[in-house]
Amino acid sequence: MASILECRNLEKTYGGGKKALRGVSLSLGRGRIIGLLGPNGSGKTTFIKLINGLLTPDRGELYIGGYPVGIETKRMISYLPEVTYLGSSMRVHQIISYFRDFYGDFDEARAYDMLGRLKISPADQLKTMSKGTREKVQLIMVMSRRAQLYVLDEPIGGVDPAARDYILSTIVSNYDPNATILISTHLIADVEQILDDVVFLREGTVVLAGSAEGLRRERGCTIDAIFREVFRC
Amino acid sequence: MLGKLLKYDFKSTFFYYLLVYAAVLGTSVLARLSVSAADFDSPFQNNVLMGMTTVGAIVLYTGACAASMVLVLFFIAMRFYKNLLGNEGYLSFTLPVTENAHLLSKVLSGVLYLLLTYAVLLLSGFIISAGTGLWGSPFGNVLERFIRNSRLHHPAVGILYLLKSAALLFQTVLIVYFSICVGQLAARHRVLGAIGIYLGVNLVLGMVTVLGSAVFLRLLEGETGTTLYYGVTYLAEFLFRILVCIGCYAGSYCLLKYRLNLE
Repeated sequence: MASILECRNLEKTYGGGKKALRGVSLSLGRGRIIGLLGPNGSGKTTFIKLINGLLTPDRGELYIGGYPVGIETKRMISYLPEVTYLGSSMRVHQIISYFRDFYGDFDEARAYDMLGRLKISPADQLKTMSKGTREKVQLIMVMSRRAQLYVLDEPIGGVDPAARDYILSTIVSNYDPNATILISTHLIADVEQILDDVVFLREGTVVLAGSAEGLRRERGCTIDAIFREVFRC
Repeated sequence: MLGKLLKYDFKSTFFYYLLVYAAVLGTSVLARLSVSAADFDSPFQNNVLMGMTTVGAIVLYTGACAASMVLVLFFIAMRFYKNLLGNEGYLSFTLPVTENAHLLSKVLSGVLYLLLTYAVLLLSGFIISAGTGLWGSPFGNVLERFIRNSRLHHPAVGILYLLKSAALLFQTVLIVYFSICVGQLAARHRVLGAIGIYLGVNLVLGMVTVLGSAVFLRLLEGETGTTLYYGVTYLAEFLFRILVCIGCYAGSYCLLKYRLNLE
């Protein structure tokens, strides 16, 4: 089956000459859960922003589902950024209406079901919720779409271990076998058990990529241990 | 998609505008009641306290009108910044919607809110003045004289005046958006940068307008005050404002599409 994401020689430099990505070439297969791993400043968020059309590359090509980044690819991608991107004054049912209005693949019933299991009332306002609950609401909106590519930027950073377990189980249980999930994180130990493939980024370059199980067998240790080895200070 | 964007633009901000409009209309009613109470036929006409209350009510109303113009522009700017260049931008720009649609929706909602604000101010003026004999007084004749002296009763001149006024509405909103888009390029102090750009652009436009007026006065020497003079002046102003609108729109679009900086 054709890959969901293809990029060749992607480069991005910020003002002041800081090179965030240096010639990144990748191919992400369909139906895989892929970990985009690397320390802070390695280029993970820049790569994710390029995928979502929030940045324009200085050089290189990027295709999602065979299309260059644009309206078509935004229809295919369900994106969870690191920040709270929903209006804080919005109520949950308004957020659901918003997603239903703009995304044809949004599954409203699934969203209400997941919210109900967490006992989050549709009348609740986002600004009255704790950080963890806000993160869960955002995740539920993202995972309620029947997208081809889910891009999750640090989905478990900044939340308690119980919330992390919930987030990871939500990702896995709402996972369409034909869809690809790209998870960017530096909390390797927590996500390792769900990853099919891993991509290690350092200073804007891919230093290691492959199947998680293959790397574990080859190196005789966990992905977390490989990460600590590769990115040793 | 444009319709949906407009729907959410209005839904998320209408409450705040409503508060401003309520304040303007409320103070106009208060001023009207005070004026009526201190009228020549009123038993309170020589009451000092009543006089002071009337003055206070009129000052309050004037303040509300002035504040409404500032607040409406502030709300327009805030909505644009928060929804497109704040954290909400991570959602807005990942919707399957073009940058053009985002910009157009913000421009249309901004212009509509400005129009609504002017309508509310006009209504508040009628609330204060209706039935008080104001329109028959020398003050009330000012409007009639303005229309006549500016040749606005002439159909072509009147239409040009409306067109240049409409262009001014779009220009007002687009300069705000363009300033914010340029300001977001900075790594820090983006809001301060946007305010600086806004003041700078308005300063330059003001200088160009003064220069243009002087040129037209010279070119149309001898025709000053005629229908031709006003017609040509309004047409030139309309075309100039359209050029400014096109420049600000194109600049904002390019910055949002190619130089978006959400951090």
